[in-house]
Amino acid sequence: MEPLIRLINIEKYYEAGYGKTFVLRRITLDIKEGEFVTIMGPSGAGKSTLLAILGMLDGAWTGEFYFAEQPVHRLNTKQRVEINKKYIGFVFQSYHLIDNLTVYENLDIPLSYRNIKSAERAGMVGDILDRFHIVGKKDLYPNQLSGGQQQLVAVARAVIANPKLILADEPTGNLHSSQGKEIMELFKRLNDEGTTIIQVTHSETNAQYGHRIINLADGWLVK
Amino acid sequence: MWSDVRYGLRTLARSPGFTAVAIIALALGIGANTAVFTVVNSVLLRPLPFPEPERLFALSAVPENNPFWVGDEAMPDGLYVAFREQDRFFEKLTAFNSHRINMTGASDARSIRAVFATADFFSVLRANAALGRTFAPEEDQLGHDRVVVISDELWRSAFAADPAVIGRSVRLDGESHTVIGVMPAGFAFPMDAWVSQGVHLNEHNSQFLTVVGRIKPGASSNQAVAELDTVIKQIPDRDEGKHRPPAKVTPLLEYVSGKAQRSLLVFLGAVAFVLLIGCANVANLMLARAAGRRQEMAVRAAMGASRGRLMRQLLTESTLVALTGGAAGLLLALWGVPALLAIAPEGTLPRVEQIGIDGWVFGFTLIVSLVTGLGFGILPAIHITRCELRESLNLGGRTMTGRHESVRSTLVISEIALTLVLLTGAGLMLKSFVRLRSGETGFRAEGVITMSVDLPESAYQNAPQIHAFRERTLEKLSYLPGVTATAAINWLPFGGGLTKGDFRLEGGRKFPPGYIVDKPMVTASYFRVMGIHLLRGRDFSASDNARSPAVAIVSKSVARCLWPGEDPIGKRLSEEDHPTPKDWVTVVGVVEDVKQVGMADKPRDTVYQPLAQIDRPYWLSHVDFVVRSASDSTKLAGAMRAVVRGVDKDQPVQTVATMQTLIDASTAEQQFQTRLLGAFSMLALLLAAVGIYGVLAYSVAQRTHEIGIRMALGAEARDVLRMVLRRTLVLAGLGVVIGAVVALAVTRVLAKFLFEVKPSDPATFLAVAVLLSGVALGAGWIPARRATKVDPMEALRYE
Repeated sequence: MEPLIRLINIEKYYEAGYGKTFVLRRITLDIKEGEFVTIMGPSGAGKSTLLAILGMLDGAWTGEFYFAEQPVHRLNTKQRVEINKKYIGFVFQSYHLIDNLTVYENLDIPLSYRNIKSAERAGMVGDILDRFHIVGKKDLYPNQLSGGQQQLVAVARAVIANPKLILADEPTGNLHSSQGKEIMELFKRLNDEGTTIIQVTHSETNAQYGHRIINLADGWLVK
Repeated sequence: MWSDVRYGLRTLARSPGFTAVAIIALALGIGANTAVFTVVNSVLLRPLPFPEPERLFALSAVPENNPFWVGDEAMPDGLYVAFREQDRFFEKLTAFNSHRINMTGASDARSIRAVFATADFFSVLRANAALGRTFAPEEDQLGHDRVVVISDELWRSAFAADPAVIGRSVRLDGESHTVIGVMPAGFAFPMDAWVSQGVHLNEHNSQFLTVVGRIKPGASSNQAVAELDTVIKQIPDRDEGKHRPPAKVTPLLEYVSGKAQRSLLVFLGAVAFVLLIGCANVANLMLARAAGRRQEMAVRAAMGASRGRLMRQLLTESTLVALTGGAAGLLLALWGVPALLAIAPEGTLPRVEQIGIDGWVFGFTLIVSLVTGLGFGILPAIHITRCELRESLNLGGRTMTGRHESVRSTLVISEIALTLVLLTGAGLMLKSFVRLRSGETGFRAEGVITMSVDLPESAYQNAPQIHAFRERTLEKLSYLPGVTATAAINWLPFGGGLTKGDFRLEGGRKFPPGYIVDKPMVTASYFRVMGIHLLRGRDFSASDNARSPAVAIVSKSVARCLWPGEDPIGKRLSEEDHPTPKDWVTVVGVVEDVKQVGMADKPRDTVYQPLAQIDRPYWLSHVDFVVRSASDSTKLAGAMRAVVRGVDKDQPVQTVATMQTLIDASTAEQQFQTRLLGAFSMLALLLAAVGIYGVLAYSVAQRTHEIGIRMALGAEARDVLRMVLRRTLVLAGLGVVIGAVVALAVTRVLAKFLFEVKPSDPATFLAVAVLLSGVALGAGWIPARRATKVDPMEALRYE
């Protein structure tokens, strides 16, 4: 069976003065559907950049990238955004909820970009509120929630459109340990239900939730 | 305080972009206000430059529905004489009228503007001559030598500023007058000459006069009104007092400036709107800056600065910006006032020679600048100093931005609303002007050149002399190259004069009550030259002369009104109260209706008669020649003047103008109002567009993070574009709705200026709303496009 993600010689660099500054070098790896992969490495190793490329947020790279057998390197921006919308959910270290929208409205955002009718969207938001036990919080604004609750909403927002893949960038970086554990348990459950998860973390403990660890250093994959 | 100023200057110098934009916005607003206030101050507010001007009043008593145009403020000569004899409240009174006359005996024959006034004219105004003297009391009496006082300008242009002009004799309309004085330059009664002429009643004839008096110290205008009213009631009235004229005593300043008052106040209102929009823009800029200065303010507060102290600092900065903007505005006004006067048609603005920037204008600009500085500075100052100290020191920008955002949005909505009001006003004026200009005149103006001549009674005492002058001139005009046809009329349409009157119909047929017609007298080819269609019967011909039966041609509306359903040809009418058989005039033709006075007037009922059949010099002395030509009118003008000189070297030509120029002149005032309101509203539109752009650009910059999140969650470029433009439309929509409601109330003040357009004209409101929304979308497009270029990874990293 073909992997969900196949990267072949992915490179990313910035023009700097007379030469190039590489952020990623010759990254070649496969990630199968249903895997829970952890990307680790020191600051500046290229972890977040790799995550952005996987999430179709960064289009300026070289190499070959296949997602669900589709050659991303040959797709234009619009087609990449379509893949993002169809298959991918994001969770960020700083939650990145929108301040002036309620919990309910934050959860609705990804659906609003997916041509889903409003009645159906309401049902989906209701389901996710139930599933994450945050019905009581639906009318609150992000600044009325604790960090853990905000990240819970962020995870709920990431999964609301039933993505095949969740990309999580330091999802527990801003949380204390018990809240972090709760979120990681949640990822585990989602993974058990079939969602592929790729997380970037500095935490050895969190890394243990995954099936395997990919180490990056100075843009290179470290075996 | 001084340290606040120093720090404020340094802060402003550090943000040259912000400072420049703010100063430009304010300079435009304050400059426009200063320019218009300069005119308002000089025309409406500044006292007349005579000693104790508040004691000068114009007295009038014009019967309502008076069939003859006599001006707004005048009184019959009989009433003046009666009032002068009984009056107890005026120190002195003077009566006068003014018209153009011919002056010969100086350098060359010329047409000048002259006042014919009683001997007290100058003593009422308390004005003295710069050279020689003014009138002596007896110099307006019959039999006394005629004397004239001339203006400084005429003295210089016609007499080469020769001091020996005093005692010299000149001929005014052919009659000898002695020059006794020269008035100082800039004398605030702009005329070329003042001729002494007493009021001598004639039982067969009466004339309307302008009457001005200097009220006694301690007397009031109400007392004067009551006394004038008493005198009016003493005069016998055949209508049992039903048509007695109302007594009016108006301050002379109001009398002189009254007509311009409404226009000027509308302009002042319009520029106030422009300034408000400018202020809203600068307040928005200040708010944007405020977000970046929160930390600075928080640190200052942490160091012990009170809120009042912080506000003082911020208000000092806004006042510095406003004062600089005010100074720049004053410079703009120095250029703007002459520009404004240049586009004002002659006669629109009274006291035009007195318009200039003075201490009051400086004071006005200073006060406006200070109020403006306070106005646009107070809101940002309150907002910036209201922040929680901890919040400002610790948090990123987003929570604060939300607070500012609503204030900034409110300001932009206000700008759009104000702009809509101005644009609607300008739109209504434009539509009205277009309607006015596109109206039918009833004649074909293209290719027609006109020339006016006033023949003085002294040189042309009888009708044959005038007929001979006219016929010789017409003959010579017809020889000019390019001229295809020539004609003459005693008062041309749009020519500024009119003869009106009633008549009798054969068989004692009744008229509609108060029915009065225009009575122009024309030569045979007049209708052909003017392109006025003959609808029935025949045109006048050369055989319609003093020896042939009297004939007339009536306008369509006369035929319809007097002989509905009948053939008017062959019907007879007479101007005499008790006509003898030779007094009857037979209608021989019907022509198209013609607008006689102005584009805003309806075509008037008109009875034309052949000039050759008129024998009273009074009706003949003013002649308008009309020439149809394919030649260049500017070249022909000189040749036409030369023709008149060839016929009578002492006879100056009053004016030579194309017919189109006369039509244009009749709508010049509306054009001036439309242009000025249009210019102010375009300025407002520009400022509003800048304001919308500023708010959205700032909003996009502040929402980069949010846009990044949305893009990470699947938003496409078009979703982001739609999001920003939706906000633009919401702002524009709210502004348009609020502005439309305000405009409905405000544009009513324009009702008097509008022609065939209602102040609530839906098409104008719709067009303006669409235009403004379009401009708003245009202004929002650039920030919206920029928003689509947000790199989600950059935006998220920014956190």
